[in-house]
Amino acid sequence: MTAQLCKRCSAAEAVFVSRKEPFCRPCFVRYIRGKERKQMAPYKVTYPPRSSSPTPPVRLLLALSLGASSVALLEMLVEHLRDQIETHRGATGFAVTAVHVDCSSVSAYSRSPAAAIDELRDKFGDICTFDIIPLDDFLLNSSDELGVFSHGPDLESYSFTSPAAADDTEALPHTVKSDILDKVRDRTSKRDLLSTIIKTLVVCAAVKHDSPTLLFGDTMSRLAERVLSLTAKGRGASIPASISDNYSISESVVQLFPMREIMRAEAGEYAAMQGFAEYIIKPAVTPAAVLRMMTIDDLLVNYFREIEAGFPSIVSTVVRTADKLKDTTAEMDMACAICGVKCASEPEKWLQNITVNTSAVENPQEPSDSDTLTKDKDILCYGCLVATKSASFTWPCPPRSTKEEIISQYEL
Amino acid sequence: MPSLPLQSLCELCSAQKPSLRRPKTGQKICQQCFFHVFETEIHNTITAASLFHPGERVAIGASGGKDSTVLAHVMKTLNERYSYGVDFVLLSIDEGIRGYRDDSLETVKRNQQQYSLPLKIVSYKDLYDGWSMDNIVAQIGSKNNCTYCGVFRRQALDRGAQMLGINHVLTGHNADDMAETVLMNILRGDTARLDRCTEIITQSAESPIKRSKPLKFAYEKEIVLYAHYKKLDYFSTECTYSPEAFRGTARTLIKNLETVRSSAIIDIIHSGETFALQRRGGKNQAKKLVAGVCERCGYISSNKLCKACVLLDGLNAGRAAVQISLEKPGDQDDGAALVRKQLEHLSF
Ligand SMILES: [Zn+2]
Ligand SMILES: [Zn+2]
Ligand SMILES: [Zn+2]
Ligand SMILES: [Zn+2]
Repeated sequence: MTAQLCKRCSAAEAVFVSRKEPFCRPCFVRYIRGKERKQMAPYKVTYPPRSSSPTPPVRLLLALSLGASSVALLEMLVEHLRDQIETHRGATGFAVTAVHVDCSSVSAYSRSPAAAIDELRDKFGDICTFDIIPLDDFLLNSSDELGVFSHGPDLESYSFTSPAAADDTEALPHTVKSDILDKVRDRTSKRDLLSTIIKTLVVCAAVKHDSPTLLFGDTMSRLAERVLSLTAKGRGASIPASISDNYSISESVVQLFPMREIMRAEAGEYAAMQGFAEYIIKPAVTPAAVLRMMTIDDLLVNYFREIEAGFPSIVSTVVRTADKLKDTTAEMDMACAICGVKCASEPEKWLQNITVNTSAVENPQEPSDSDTLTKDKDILCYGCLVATKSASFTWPCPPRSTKEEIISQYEL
Repeated sequence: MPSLPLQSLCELCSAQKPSLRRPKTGQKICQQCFFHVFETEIHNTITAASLFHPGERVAIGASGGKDSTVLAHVMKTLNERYSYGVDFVLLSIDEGIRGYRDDSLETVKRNQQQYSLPLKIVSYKDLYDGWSMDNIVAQIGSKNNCTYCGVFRRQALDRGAQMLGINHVLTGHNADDMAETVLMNILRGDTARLDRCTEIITQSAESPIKRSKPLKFAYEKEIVLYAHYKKLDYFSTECTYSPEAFRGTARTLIKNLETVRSSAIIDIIHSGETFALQRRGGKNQAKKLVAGVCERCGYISSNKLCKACVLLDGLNAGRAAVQISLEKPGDQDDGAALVRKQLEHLSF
């Protein structure tokens, strides 16, 4: 086989084929960085009118999962900052704090995330700052910060809430694993709740660091997977909130996906080319031999891996299509007690109608009003209703009702 | 958890021995409870959408297959149980597919006896210049069959209903079909169809007849189980002309999703119900079709000739359908047609 030439420069030998086009290394790096620079264009160095000193940089928070694409994004941001420093005599248009939520208690890493973050800090400490947050902070977080996403209900009325557990919150050692995830049997729901927890923690971190913008390293492939995954999990209404640039995920924070034009394979190849492979310590997918043991996310990772290779245009079609969806949650006036998405109060009723739970021998009566939702109760969105079905745990939601409040409210 | 002895009893009535694991929920339940929940859910679907009014005449699109046979059976049962006061008629299309439709029509004729409902059969041959599906395939080859069948079938159902003086047709689309449609519209970038594609009632400028899908929340597996336990007489052979290949890949994905989480099918429908498109500057307003009629056959059409007449012209002139664009202008994004073509070659 003769070596293929790079199609961009027609000079160097191609080392990687992307979207059916052969690239040499320098051309590939330029191509990928170009896509990131385009998304990050608003963060160039600016000078106020009639001033020679630049506007102070905006602090951006990078959600660093230590998967291939967030690591690739970190590298690009570092290079971007170095270029700005060089061009503008030390000035930059943005500053970066990379935050990693340490999930080692619940998911596998190929090595210690704390060590990887330490190494990154040694290497890039002069360019950006790093922060590592234990997953269990979710249970300790003060109400103000958690409040950005949760709206303070007690979930007493739901089957998965154990009033007893709420009572001895002071006595037991708390971990997300034992308090929440161990109580959920279904793997898809576990992963679903875990990602809600992680997202909450990074949003809280953005608030804490006074950062108006949260950067996610999700590639186009990942966004496409997420669109179908959310759809499959009954979370279709959350699609705009989960993939749209500049969407307000809390009062003071918007999200941005600078990698949205880059494919998963491209991000992985890029990170490897730039010598960042050693920091990619989170596997992209937990392989499961048995279909039944997979999560919906795993299933879609595999589905899109196949699609991405043969039909990259389908990946972009999915994301473009999803971008045209209206944020219907904006019109709702309730908020889900778990994920915080705004929703209607109907999901439980909708589900009851089409999954009837009465027996043939009973009176085929409609369930009485006392069985269904009453106005005072807090609600769950459909996706969270499905995810927590038959699980029993206490979701931390400030301000937590005291035992006295609960008793006075419910005791007859 | 129930105590030990209860585990061998139906999870709903705790009286009978369970005879099946319910596909939608995984509950182990007895036959009677299964019939009860299956039928009640369809009844709930009907009442939630106020699907019928007393005295209404409604046609049930009957193909002899499991979905429409179960639909006819359940509609008759619920109509009596809850006094809907609806006058049901079976309406069948004879596409003219030997070894498939001729046999399934025999099933429909038996159903007519079993349910004592009137039956109307309209054939492609009579409606379309003597063209049966077998003739069409002989002329155009084995590709694009469903394009013809889709256009001809929709119009044939409408015309059959009109002949009966009926303007409401029920189809046997089940929850799996609905979920497939949602995923396919996303994968194909079919934004025009993504908006409200899970609605139970479809009424469009392109058709004078209202369609609805009372089985939209019924799992295909439960339809099969229901037909089995009720010993319903149905025809189980698939259409001999291959369906659009891509539907197959979406179907595989849904099957896998269902294995991972049994509620996935209704979860997808729930998602689909929340989908709405962003409106931009009255663009959709402008796209709204002006209802006119086909100048040859009188069927509703926004163009001079309706889709069926355009296809017929092609057939009569010996051309294949490939050259004819069946999409409304602006219906799809650029490249969507190409993507569709590519997807048809995907295999999982
Ligand atoms: Zn090159
Ligand atoms: Zn929720
Ligand atoms: Zn029972
Ligand atoms: Zn016509």
